[in-house]
Amino acid sequence: MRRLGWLAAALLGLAAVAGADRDDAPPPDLELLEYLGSWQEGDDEWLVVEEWRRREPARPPERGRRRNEDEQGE
Amino acid sequence: MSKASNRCALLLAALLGAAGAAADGVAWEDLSEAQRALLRGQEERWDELEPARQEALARGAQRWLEMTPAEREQARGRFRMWQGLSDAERAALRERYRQFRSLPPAERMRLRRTYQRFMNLPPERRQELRRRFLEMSVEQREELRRQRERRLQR
Repeated sequence: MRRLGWLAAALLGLAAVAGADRDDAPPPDLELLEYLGSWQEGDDEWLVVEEWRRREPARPPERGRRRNEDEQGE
Repeated sequence: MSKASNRCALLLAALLGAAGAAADGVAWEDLSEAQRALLRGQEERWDELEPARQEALARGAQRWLEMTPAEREQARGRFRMWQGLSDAERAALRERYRQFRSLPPAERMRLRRTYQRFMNLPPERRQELRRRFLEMSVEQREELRRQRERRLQR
């Protein structure tokens, strides 16, 4: 009987551990998957870009900026 | 998923990432079993999808499979924010994103670190910094950026 009690406790513990890592959320739809895959390194990239845009609204891309600097130096 | 198929899927994801703008598409048979399970229902029309769309879907499915439940929830939140933007805002961000991707990796890393540091600040401090930054002239902002770069190089 005592052994059964231990077995039940162990099974409950295992179930709790498995449940903690379980994803009960619905499966992703196609739009979400496409969105996730549309960024090269991860979907948080657009938030980095949004912050960059806010901080440096008119900043040209690196190559353009270098060209501008070269032109000014001439 | 077995270790071998996991490796195959990671290799596929890396190849997709490296492919960049030249979209060759992905054959349905080249998707891992787990990717196919997520994209179930698309098998019939997979060949009709644009190659770039196939690549985005395959990459997105792989990313999803590698996320923890908490990361999936965060990604859903970011997706809701993305959907909340207007078409014009999304187009402007995509355009800026193209510029971002053309920056040298070190510059991209700098911007990413700046963003992470900024997001770790309390909301009122973020608001205050944003306000002060917007009040600066372009020259002042450039000077601030140069100072930051000099500090990082030291």
